[in-house]
Amino acid sequence: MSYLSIVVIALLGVTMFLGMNYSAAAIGKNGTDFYNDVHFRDIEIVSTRLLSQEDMDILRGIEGVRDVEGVVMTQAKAVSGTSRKNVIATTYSQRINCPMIVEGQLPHEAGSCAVEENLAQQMGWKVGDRVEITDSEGKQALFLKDRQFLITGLVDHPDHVCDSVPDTLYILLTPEAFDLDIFAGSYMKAELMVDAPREDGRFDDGYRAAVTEVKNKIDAISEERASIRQEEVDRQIDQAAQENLLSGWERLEEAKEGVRKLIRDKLTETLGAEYTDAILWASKQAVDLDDPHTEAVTFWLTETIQANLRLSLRENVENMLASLEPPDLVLQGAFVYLGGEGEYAPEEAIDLLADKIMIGLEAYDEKYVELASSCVLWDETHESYLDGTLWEKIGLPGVCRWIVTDTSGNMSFVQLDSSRDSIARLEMTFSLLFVVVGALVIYATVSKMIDEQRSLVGAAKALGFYPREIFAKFLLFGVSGTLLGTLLGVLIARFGVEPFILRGYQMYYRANISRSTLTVVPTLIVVGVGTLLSVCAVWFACRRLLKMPAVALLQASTPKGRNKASGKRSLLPLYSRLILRNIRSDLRRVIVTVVSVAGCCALVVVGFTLRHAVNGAVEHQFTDVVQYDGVFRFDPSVNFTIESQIDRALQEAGGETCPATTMYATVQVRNLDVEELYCGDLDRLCHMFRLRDARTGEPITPSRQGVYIPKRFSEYFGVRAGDPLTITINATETVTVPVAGVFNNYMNRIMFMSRECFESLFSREPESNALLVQLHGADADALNRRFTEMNGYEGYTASDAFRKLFQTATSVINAVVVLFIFMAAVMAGVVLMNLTSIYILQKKRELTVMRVNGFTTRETIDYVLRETVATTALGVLLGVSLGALLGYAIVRTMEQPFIQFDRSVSISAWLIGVAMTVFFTVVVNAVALRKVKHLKLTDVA
Amino acid sequence: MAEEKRFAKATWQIMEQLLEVESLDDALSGSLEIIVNTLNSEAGAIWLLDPKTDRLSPLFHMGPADVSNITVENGLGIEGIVTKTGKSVMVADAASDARFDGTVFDDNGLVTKTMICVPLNNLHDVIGCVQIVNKKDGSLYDEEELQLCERMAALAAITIDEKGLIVDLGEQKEVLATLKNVTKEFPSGDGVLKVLKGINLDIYKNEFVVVLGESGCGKSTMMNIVGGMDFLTDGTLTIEGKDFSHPTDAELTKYRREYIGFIFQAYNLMPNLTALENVQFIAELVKDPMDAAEAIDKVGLSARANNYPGQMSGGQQQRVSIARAIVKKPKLILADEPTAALDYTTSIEVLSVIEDIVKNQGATVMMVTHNVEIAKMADRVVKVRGGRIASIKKNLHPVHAEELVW
Repeated sequence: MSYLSIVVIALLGVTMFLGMNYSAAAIGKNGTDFYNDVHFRDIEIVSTRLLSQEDMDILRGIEGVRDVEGVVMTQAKAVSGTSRKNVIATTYSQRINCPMIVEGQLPHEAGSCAVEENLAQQMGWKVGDRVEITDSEGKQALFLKDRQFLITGLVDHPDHVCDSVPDTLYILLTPEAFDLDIFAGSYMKAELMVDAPREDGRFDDGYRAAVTEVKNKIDAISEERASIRQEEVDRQIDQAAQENLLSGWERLEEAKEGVRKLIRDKLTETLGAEYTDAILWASKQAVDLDDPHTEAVTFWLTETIQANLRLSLRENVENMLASLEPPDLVLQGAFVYLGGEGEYAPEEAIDLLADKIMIGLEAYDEKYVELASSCVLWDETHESYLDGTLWEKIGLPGVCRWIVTDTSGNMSFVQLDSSRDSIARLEMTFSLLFVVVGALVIYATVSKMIDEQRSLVGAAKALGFYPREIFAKFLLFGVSGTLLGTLLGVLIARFGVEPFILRGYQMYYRANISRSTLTVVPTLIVVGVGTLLSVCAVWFACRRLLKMPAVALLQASTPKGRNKASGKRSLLPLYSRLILRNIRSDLRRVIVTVVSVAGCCALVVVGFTLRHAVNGAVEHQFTDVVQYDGVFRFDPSVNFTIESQIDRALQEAGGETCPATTMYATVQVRNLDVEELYCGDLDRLCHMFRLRDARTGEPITPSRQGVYIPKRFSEYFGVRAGDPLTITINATETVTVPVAGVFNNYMNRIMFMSRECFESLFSREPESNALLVQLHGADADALNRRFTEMNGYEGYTASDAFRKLFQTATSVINAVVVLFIFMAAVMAGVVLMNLTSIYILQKKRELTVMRVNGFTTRETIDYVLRETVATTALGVLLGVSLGALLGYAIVRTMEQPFIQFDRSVSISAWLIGVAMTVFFTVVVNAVALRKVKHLKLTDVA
Repeated sequence: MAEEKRFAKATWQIMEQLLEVESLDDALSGSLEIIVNTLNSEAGAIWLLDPKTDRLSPLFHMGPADVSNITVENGLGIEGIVTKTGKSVMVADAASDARFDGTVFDDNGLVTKTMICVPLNNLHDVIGCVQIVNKKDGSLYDEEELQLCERMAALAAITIDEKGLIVDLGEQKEVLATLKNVTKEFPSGDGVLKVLKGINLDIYKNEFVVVLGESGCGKSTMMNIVGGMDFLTDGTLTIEGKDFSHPTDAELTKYRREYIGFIFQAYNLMPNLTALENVQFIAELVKDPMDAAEAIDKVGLSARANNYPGQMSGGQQQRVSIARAIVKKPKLILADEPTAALDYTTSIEVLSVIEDIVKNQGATVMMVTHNVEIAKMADRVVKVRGGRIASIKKNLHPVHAEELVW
């Protein structure tokens, strides 16, 4: 029994420790292999005003930089039927950050593309389909030459390894698909590979240090380079803008000349040349770009008549006829010529003439409209030129700035690292606790086992055995048991726990992280430490016996160091006194028992605390925080009436709505972090998303200024209320905003901002693109089906779906925790069985004497139970306290930047810990105390 | 020729026994043993006549039947007739002798097939008789064997006459426990080991019985059965007339609690209780116990009542063990080698306490020991051999513990 206990306890400790170790190592190694296979960039630089060739050359010249590759890209919408999705159309890299082909091949010509498999699944695309890429208004996307692309392949991109991280997905194009002239050899983004020991591990400190060293060098030059770029761009923009505006004006004047000719020809056709020749038709106009009054939408039809392209062609014709000199003569003639009856009326004559002219000109309406909109665009561009805000006009910020990030700027990478780290933290906390408890119990077992054999030791000494020979015998017992358990533990960790955990995590990653691995060094360390611990346990257990003379060992052991009792009448009953003295006289055993029970109880409490924390986070999030049933999303740029239509329909169905603008915002904190920013009427948003102050728990009174951040974000990045926070939306719009408050939130990356704050920061109103809804019985599915017909509708996401997503996301950690609880329960069972057996073995003679003297089996068991109950109660108390503290610490350690577990005190975990320990105590005692019933009374005679 | 030689040797041994052994009853019992062994007999007894009551009682008997408490009126039965008439009787073949009416052995589990009974004649009176029963090989007694018995009886009578023997066999005692044909088997490998092969023994109230025997003879097993620590395989155990052969575990516990006190060789005290508390611990089990302090006082340990076992000598611990045994006021105290681990002086102290509780407190003590010397202070000495009672001897003059020497 003792030997088996040692084997099982060593097995459990090693299984849990190495199981976690192997899993963390496997995730790290598989992640490293994947990132190395795709040459995942070590550093990424995004410039708000592009990176010039000179920038690229300078980057290549930095010591430690191995390779640099530029990327151009644009934010766009991918269209599939009625559904539209934000995407990034980007060139794919050849050497760095290479996409992994899942199906088909990468595009090789301007009209083809490859899409991320995840995106293809969402949009229902397959290889061979054509996709449409537009800007937010459905027009051709900025910088792209075309809007239709053929899908040649599906890929996994290194930037998006983790499906659960929200991010805008990529459509990969050839450089030829972009209007590269605009970029003039510049890039939006540079991917860098540096000289770093990445083969050793992408998550290792050595790799991070090497990358950070290079990153620091880039940071050091980034300001200077950005400044140079700023001046260069300012110069270029003036020159380019002038050239473009002049050339545009020329082209517009050509088009206007065409309009004049059309009208003149039709007038001639209607009234004859004598009339039209009399009109002083205008010719092409010169332009003064610096004249703020210069407008393209107004042009001279005649030398005296100004046409306005904001008006229709007919209105302009009518205005011209009304302004002709001499009007009466012309109009009177025209009136008669066109069949007018009665008295001449100028208005009627103009109408008749305009009708006649417009016949045949209708075919030119479309071109006229095109001309009109081109003129409007020219005017707007001219206005921006005059204001110096042209870069903003084309979607780039006015100030040049470099955003330099290492691998920790990629959220998928951070997520993978976080998964690996979570397991590693479990290994160093929960698993280590297993090992400590296991070591204690093994020591207790060996110690008591040797104590039981004291007379055998005495006999061996008396027979002339050397202490070292006796020690060797016990050493063989302890070490072989521990080694056997350790080796079995290694096998179970490698072939049981590790695949179980890796399979769980694999479902969230596109990279293959489920290849098992066996880390040799930790295994050898565990085997070594296990052996050493068992040697120490045996040595500490038998060193006293080995020093004692044989005769002393052969005599029955009697408690030592006790003073004579006072003889005074004690207040305690005899039984209680006896129990207390038993405890005092065998304090070492009792302490080990209490600590072992406490350890097992603590393991169970920690397990259930973790489970409570994980499940509680989901429960709190969707009960206490999220108050809406779902979100209807739409694109107002496609259909500006869609919000009101959906809102009306929802309210008619009985739902309650709250409009919001949602977007992904990149937050520059320690590393980059992506949060979903919600803008809207905070009073109404608070009704849908209960914002409670993280410190007081009271509802937040929304402030018009500043951004509200989640508590976990605040803790993780050390950002507090009042601190400035730099956020970027749409990749280029970067602002600094104070933190208005910190709210309680358990999961998801989310921030809130008032409409007023958004307006003041970005100088425009946020356009609502989502309606948060409390259904109040409305049929969301039916409404969703109805809205799908609407142009610009993007879909409905139920809160329940998020809940399921989070439950899935936390299911792995939950499964691991359940595994821990199971192992803890097994260990508790083995430990308690072992300790109780040891105790009964130790007390066997005493119990037999009691039975012989007439104590009933029940009375004898009661006697045993008193101490067992006392030690168990003490152990449980200690275990619950220890478990509660450790549980809290482990919960805090396990939290991710975007997940805050339920940190509340889990009374249920305590109660379950107590109940399980008590249950095991009862079961184990029921089994072990059967020995009392079957005590052989004749043994004592 | 060989038989003559054997008989001569036996006669010589008997003479040695009678002349050299200090204790007369030892000499007599030794002589009977020689006769029984020489004649390869199953059982034998020396009956002595108590002049006060004119009844015969067995001073010493051998064989499976316990006739300790049997008395025979002078003149009645074979034993009485032989004593009354002073003439030997040999029943060569009981089955074919119509006159034969059986012996006391027949009433105690042994069927007489052949028998010799010779008178113990001293110069003046017939003081009793010597009786041997059945031959182990199934053959019948003959005249030569009768003569050997008569020679032995004559020598014994002369010795008694010379040394003087005051016969006071005491009153008939009340039986506390009776073992009848008790057997005990233990599983051993594929078979069974029969440790007790038919024990017949009465234990009387207020007597001190010492059980002697070699290791493995079954004496401890017998005591375990008497003490309710083990079950018998076959036979009957009667406690105060009540059949206790196949009790339940609860009945056994109750029996141990109310009837039995134990004194162990290894003391077996609770190490974390003081001397007084060890006694109190057991006293709490029964309804009407002796005061624990009084029990401690009776064993002379009042001064050390608050000492823990670890602070006391072996003898003191054994005395606490005795106090623990008597505190329940048990009807039977079983002592298993109580002095085996003690030196002579301490042993005498312990034995004195036991002697005291028998004589002054009316307890019955059954003690298992290897020490033949201790048997001298017993009222009866039971020898066990090969799982059977080999002999039971009544000590006519038990010595005091202080008189024992070894």
